Amino acid sequence: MGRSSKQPTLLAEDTVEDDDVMDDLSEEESEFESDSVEEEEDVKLAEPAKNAIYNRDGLLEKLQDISWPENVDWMHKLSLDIDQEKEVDVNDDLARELAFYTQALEGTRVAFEKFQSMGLPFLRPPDYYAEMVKSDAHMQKVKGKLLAQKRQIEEAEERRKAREAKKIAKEVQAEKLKERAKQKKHEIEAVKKWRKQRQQSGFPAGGKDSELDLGFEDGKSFERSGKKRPGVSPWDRSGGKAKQAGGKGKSFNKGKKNREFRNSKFGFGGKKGLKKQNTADTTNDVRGFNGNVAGNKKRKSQAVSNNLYVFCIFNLIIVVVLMGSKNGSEMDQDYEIPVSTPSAFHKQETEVKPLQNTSEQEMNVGRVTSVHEIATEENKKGDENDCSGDNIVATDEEEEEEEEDDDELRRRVEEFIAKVNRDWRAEKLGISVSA
Amino acid sequence: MGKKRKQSETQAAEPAKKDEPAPERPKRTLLGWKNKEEVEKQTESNPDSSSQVFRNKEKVMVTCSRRINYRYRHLMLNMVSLLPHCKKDNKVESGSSKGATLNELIELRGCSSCLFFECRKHQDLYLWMSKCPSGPSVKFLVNAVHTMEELKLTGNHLKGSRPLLTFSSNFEKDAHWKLLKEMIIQIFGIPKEHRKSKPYHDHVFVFSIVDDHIWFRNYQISVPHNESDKMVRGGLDKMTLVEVGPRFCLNPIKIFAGSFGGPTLYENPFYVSPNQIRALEKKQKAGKYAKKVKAKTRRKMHELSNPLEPDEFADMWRE
Repeated sequence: MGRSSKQPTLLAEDTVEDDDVMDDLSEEESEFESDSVEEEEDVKLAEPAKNAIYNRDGLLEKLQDISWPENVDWMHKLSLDIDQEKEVDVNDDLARELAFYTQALEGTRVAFEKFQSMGLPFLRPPDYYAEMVKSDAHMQKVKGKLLAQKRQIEEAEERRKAREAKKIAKEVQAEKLKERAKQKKHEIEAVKKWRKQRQQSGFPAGGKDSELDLGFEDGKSFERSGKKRPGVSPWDRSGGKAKQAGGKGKSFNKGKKNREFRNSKFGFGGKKGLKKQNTADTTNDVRGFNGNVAGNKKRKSQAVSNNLYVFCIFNLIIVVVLMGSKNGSEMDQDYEIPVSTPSAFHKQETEVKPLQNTSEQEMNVGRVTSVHEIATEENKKGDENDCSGDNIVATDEEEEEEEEDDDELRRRVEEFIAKVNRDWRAEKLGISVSA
Repeated sequence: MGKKRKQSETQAAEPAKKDEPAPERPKRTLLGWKNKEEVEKQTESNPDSSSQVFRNKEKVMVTCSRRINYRYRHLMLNMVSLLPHCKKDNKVESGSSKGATLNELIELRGCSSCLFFECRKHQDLYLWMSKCPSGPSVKFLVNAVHTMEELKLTGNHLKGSRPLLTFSSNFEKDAHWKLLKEMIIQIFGIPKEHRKSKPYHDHVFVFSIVDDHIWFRNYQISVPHNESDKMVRGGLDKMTLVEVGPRFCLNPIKIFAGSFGGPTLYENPFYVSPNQIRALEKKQKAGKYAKKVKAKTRRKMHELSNPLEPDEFADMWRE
């Protein structure tokens, strides 16, 4: 009945609303925004319905009917009435919850005192274990949630700190730069002032006795010079960066360098020809010249080995020749002694001759030594051929000494042979004389 | 015959013992006769004996309608876990005849009161609180439901420990609030020395009227303890509360004289049913289009009523 009576009023309101929907809509929206999610459904009528039933007598009667006897012990009820100090705003969640909390807290305090006065147990002792409303598993979850929240807060704090530190660092850097610029300006000012003072006190600015002409009077020295690219040849498109970029620098700033190098190679601005012309820079550039010792060393060692090789071969030849000659001479002598005495005579004569002039070996004329001479000459020639090293000269001298030794030996041998021959001839002569 | 004699015997025997408690009963059980003067006189004469005899034998049947959604079902289960003196029953079809069936059920289970969670359209929860056989009963709309399972409610307390019931002072303001308070005390207060209850008190219920709604909160009482069970000196100041849940907000709709029916004693004059609210919203949305159409026609009318003056330079460039 009540509801049916309410309906028309609502409908009436609706019709009113239709006329100025716009206002109402905005109002409604604002209301919904202010409400939290939980009170979404909590809409009240603006005015109390006129014909709502309120049977006060009936209510009181019912209350009388159901209520416990008035003198029932408080222990049965455990109910406490707590004064609310002020009206609570429903939509202010925090204030509302705080009101509930304070109500509960006050209630507990009062109850605690009551229990204390009655000497009854109040809170559970810590060693009293019993089933709880929430299971342990659920409480574990709650704990996990709390920990996660804490961690999240800490992380957020850390991030915030880092951000602030960064900001501060930036500010400090800017300050420093500003400071530096200021100082520079100040110094320039000071110099200018000094200069002006100097001029006024009698030293002409452009005079010959003004010993130093500070170029930064007009502050132009701090700007770039008139030449667009100082130290770069006019045709160089890369602005002097080509060589650097081509030579090195692939390790860092790769993309940029690469771009520059390509610009220099394939062209980006500047003159296109004249790349291969010499300039002062290129002529003075000794980077291409390799003063390194490593390559030479290699080559040198190769040459040495070459020389050694040649030397060895020649020595071998000499030895072979010598061996041949010795054998021949021995054979000759062995052969000579028994066979032909006149030839031996002749030989002896010739052999005495070199004994007399050992010093002038090169001038040797003789059948026996001619071969040797040829060999030595050949040796000499070879020496002359590879006259690049000092050590080779040294070996040549040694060889000469060796040759001299050889000659000595041969001489001795020949002397010995001659002596034996003489003895043998003398004997023979003696025999022949005696015979 | 024998039966009758027995009854008469017991009646004859008991008056000697239960002379004092007997007059109380009419006040409690509401059997029709209310000779208040007599009762008061009796209680005044020997108050301590009456309090000795008084036993709270409250039993609450908790049940819900069919097709309840999980959130409200969880709320109901939370209430079951909070009230050790309750009996949970099967779901009941919420039709027009639910009052009769519920009354029957309550009687069958031997309960003296009932909490019935009625869910409509899978979204609106109504809570019936009823004193059984002879009323009264209250119907609430339940808002702002948070169950105990929510992780932001971090408290915990003993299952079955008796709660302290704290009421805000504005429960004394009006007759219907008084009645509601009494009903809440009886239903939510766990009977002393109930066999499933525990002898300690470690949580508080808060019932507070804000904005003509009853707000419910459940807090755990936590006090710093020493090694022994004795509380620290000044522990009272350090006492803190941790919310356990559930939370909800009851908007009273109607109070009936009987159990699940009977004449209406109170009707909330500010109440708008959620159905009406939704209808209103829909209407407002529909009004958007109506407004557009209206604006269009108004514009047209306006153009018709004041036509543009013919432009004298209109065909200047046309040759």
